[in-house]
Amino acid sequence: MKVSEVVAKADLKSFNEAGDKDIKGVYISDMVSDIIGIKEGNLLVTLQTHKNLIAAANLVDVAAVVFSRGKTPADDVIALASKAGIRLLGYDGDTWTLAKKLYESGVR
Amino acid sequence: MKRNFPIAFLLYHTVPAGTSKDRVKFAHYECGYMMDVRKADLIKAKGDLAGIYPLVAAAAVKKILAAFFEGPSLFFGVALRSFFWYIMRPEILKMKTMAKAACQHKWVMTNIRSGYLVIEGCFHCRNRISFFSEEPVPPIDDYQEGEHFWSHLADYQASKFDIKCERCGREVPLKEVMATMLCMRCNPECGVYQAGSQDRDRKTWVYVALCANTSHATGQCITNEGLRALNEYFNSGFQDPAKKIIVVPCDLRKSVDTCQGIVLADVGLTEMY
Repeated sequence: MKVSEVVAKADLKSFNEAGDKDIKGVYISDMVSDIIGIKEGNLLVTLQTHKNLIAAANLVDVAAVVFSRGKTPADDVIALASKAGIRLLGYDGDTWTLAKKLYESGVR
Repeated sequence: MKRNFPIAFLLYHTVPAGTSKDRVKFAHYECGYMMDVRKADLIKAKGDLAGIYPLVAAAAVKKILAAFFEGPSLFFGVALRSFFWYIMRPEILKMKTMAKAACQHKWVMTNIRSGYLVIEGCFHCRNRISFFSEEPVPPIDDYQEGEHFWSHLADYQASKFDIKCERCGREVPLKEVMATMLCMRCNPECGVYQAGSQDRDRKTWVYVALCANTSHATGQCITNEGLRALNEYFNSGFQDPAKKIIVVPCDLRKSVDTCQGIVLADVGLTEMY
């Protein structure tokens, strides 16, 4: 499934328009040191909005990053993500509700 | 240095019959904080270790003799196995080496440990060191080590890992890698900047593997084998074929103080504990 399909199905908002990668899975974590161990193509759900997270997400080639609970990244974070080709998405609800919504959208 | 009686007691009582006492020997070496052994003690330790080999050889001879007296078939079995291993050993080792060299490695992370990246500085010589602590709470005490007076500067939650090939089982320990840092291309004169400048048109990102010896006073940094494995690991499986990750050693950095890279550590999370 493509990132653009999930954006439409799960009603996510976009902070940038970088790339439309294939989603191979979902990973939920708020720790940068935890993220660097995941496989490529994951949709990363997190609360962290700092640059360190984008640096880690780029290293493991995530499909996109979703910030839950209405978190909004700063402009320099969005610029770095765009440069790295990482799509940044947002969701107003909590992470658990987002996880259920992603599952219902067909992301496995 | 005083003998550590709790450890001796524990080891002597691991076998209820008390036979472990005959198989364990203790030696003591003077060291500083953490694991730094003095050079004189290091030489002594190597000598002690070398002394173990004659004991092992004697034990092997004892075993063969015991097999001989126990029964001819057992003795010939042991002797035949030893002879076969002696004759075929170079060929077996050669085949194993060839198989490993021909392997198209598929690296995965292994031995993932969680802990803290602790950074300390010496106010005397202004050197900086970092180490990985697996303790529940990161150590913050000041201490003296030779001419150095180390003080705690910062700590971040981090994880350490090694790399292992799924196909041939080869393992590359990354014990000297403390963290990874994304280069923000702040200084064209820096070696890290230059490492990525040749591939500027491609989607190339340069990451720096940070070693424990931040000031490189000892002249040592990340091993070539570790760097090669990290580069192969992080460059596998990209959806975009133009994307490339270059991992370089931290001794390429022009200045530790002015470097503007982004360290992949959980900055700020430590304050929660």
